[in-house]
Amino acid sequence: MGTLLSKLEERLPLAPLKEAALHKQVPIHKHAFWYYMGGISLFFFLVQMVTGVLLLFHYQPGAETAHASALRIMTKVDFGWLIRSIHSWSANLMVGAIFVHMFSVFFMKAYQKPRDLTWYTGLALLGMTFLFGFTGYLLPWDDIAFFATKVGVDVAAGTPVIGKEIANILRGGTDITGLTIQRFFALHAVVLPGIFIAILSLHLLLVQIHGNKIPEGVERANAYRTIPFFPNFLYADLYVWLLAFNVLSILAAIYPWPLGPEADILKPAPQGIHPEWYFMAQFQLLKMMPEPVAMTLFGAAGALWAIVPLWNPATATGRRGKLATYAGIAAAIGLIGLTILAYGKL
Amino acid sequence: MNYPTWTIDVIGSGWVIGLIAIIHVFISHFAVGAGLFLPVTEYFARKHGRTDVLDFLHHHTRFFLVLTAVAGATTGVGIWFAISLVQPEATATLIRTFVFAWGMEWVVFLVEVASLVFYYYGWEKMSPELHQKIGWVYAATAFLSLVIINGILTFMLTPGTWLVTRSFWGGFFNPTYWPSLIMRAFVALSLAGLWGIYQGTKLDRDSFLRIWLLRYSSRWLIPSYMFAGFILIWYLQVVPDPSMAAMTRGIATAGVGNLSILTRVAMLIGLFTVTIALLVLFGPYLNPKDFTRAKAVALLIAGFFVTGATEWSREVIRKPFAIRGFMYSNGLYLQDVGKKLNTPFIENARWARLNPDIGEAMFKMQCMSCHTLHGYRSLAISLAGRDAESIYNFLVVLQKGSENPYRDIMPPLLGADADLKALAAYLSKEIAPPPSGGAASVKP
Repeated sequence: MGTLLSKLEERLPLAPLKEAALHKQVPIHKHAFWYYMGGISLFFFLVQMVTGVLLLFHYQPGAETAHASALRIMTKVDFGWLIRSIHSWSANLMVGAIFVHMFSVFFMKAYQKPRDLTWYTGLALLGMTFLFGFTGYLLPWDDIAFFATKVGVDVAAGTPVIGKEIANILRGGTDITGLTIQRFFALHAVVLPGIFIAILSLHLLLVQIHGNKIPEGVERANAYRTIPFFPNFLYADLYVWLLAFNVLSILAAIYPWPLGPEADILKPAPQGIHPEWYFMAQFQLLKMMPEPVAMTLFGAAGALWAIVPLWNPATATGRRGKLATYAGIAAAIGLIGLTILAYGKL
Repeated sequence: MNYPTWTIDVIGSGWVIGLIAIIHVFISHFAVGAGLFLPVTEYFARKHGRTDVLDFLHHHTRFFLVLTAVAGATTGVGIWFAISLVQPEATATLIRTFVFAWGMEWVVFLVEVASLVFYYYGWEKMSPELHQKIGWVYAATAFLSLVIINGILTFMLTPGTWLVTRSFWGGFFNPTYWPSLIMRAFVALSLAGLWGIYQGTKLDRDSFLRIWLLRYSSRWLIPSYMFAGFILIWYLQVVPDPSMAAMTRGIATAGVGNLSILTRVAMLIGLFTVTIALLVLFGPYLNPKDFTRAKAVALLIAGFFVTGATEWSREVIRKPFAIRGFMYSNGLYLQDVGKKLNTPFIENARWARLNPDIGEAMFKMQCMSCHTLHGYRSLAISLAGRDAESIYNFLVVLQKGSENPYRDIMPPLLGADADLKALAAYLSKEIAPPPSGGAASVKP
């Protein structure tokens, strides 16, 4: 066994990695809880990969087959309902965890140099997660999926100048048809995972290189200690993953994700049709003002949010540091407020 | 059906019992586990001269005194209060059958509380030997109260030879008595361990006592994980066949996947049980220094979930009976079904005479022990899309004896044809009130 390992080591030198893992330290302080959020997001993504592959074995895209195969997964395939339920719940929990992760990074000012590249890759991952959610939602081809996607594509069509083109490319024409399912499926199961994994790898590499950001106040007061990443923090991380898995299992088993009747494109949209919860704030804004204005406003706010490392580059306590904190609070209140408003008006 | 009814909408009257009972079960098993945890740990500490452990136990005893004598006692009485309102017939049968057992239980509980009081106040005033002895008395009486109550609890699922002989001991030492007792004893040890872990996290992070206590308390879960699997297999072997069928075949399969809610909850219980083992291993046992109180709370919540879900499952597999083979969950005696099935309902239910709406009286006396109109096990959902005619057709099925597909989960429905029509009219009105407020289509 020993010689086998040393032979492997000659060809694949892992010793430096092991060395780095043993020396890596993780800071622990009163805000350290938020460090788990990235790990939880990663965990839900891993669940998505595993359950997604399992669903691939049975799902058939296409206008004639999509709903029938989803129905077969729900009723005929052993534990198919559970796998699909876990996939759908995990998708939503993943979006939620990424949101919390992003806001905690924002408030800790962990986007500042040298972690600005980590911030940008993280935002790219968030954007792709939205695309995952959007493309995956249509695949079962039930009535809610169909009409919610229609609403979603209409939102995209509202983008100034290029909106119509984007909508046509997404749909594969001027209407949502079997071709749209095929397109969304290709994006959801092939294109997006490939790009996502590449960016995720870079994101994780950057996290490993720069380590966890210690909030400035905590660092100044020296109110933290460090623990070894291996095994102490790893145990703690596994602990939280296990809890996350249990929460996911409860939701998936007690509230199995429903499958509605097959989409009928000739039927009128059911009342109160709306996109998934993470698009609700945008949906509400669109209802409150003309489409181009809403899209411009949302786009501008998003762009400002994304480039925060540029306008708040240095310290957490300076004038701009405070401004960033207020912007973060305003963004959180805005998103939550608009979402509540949107659900209240359904 | 000779008592007034108690209407609890939304959660249903069953959950009133359920919520009180789950809390009580959690506390009482804690108390049984702690009954051993305290004197065993005291014995160890005295043997090894660990004064820090003795100090900790002294402090710890106060909590258990409050838990057992206040929270345990009030929730215990609360269960009585609730079941006598929700299930008066079944409660009366339990009292008639087990009055001797409750007599014993009161004596044992009195000694348990008294010995705990002496144990707490005796830390500084008694000789170590006497104090240790009192501790053993507390342990023995706490366990004895489980020994007694377990007989009554298991009786309701498997009354055993009592059904024929009406013998007290036949009902008490029924087929599920022993596996249930051993399982509950293991659960009690585990909960004591979880509580020790939680208390340990309150201590100073680097203290020797904290690390010792977390590791020591973790070990209290080992017996459960070594033997509980075998005991569970034993238990399932003696559970009645229809109950096992409900577990494997499923109750409500349509639309929510292939497995019944009971089976899905059973899966979650398995998952949580494994989770607790892994959490304890990777948390307080292998990594005691970094094990925080928040994580200990998560562990306790997991323990609470397993306890609650297991008790809930035990209740569900008893359906459609309150006492299997003797009395249905709505208070109808099995032996009365034949002669009462198609007779006018009013002849069998004295309190129904006070209610001018016979349909409402039927609902309250025959459906409401398990269902609500719009809340838990909602009839509005179960009967969605049906009009009075269609509901009536369904109710007729509930009178069809061996041809009734619901016979293993719901009691047969008593009443003459006019009663069934009245119930159908009432339900259709309640679940979808007509806009004009007019009567439903089928008239009694």
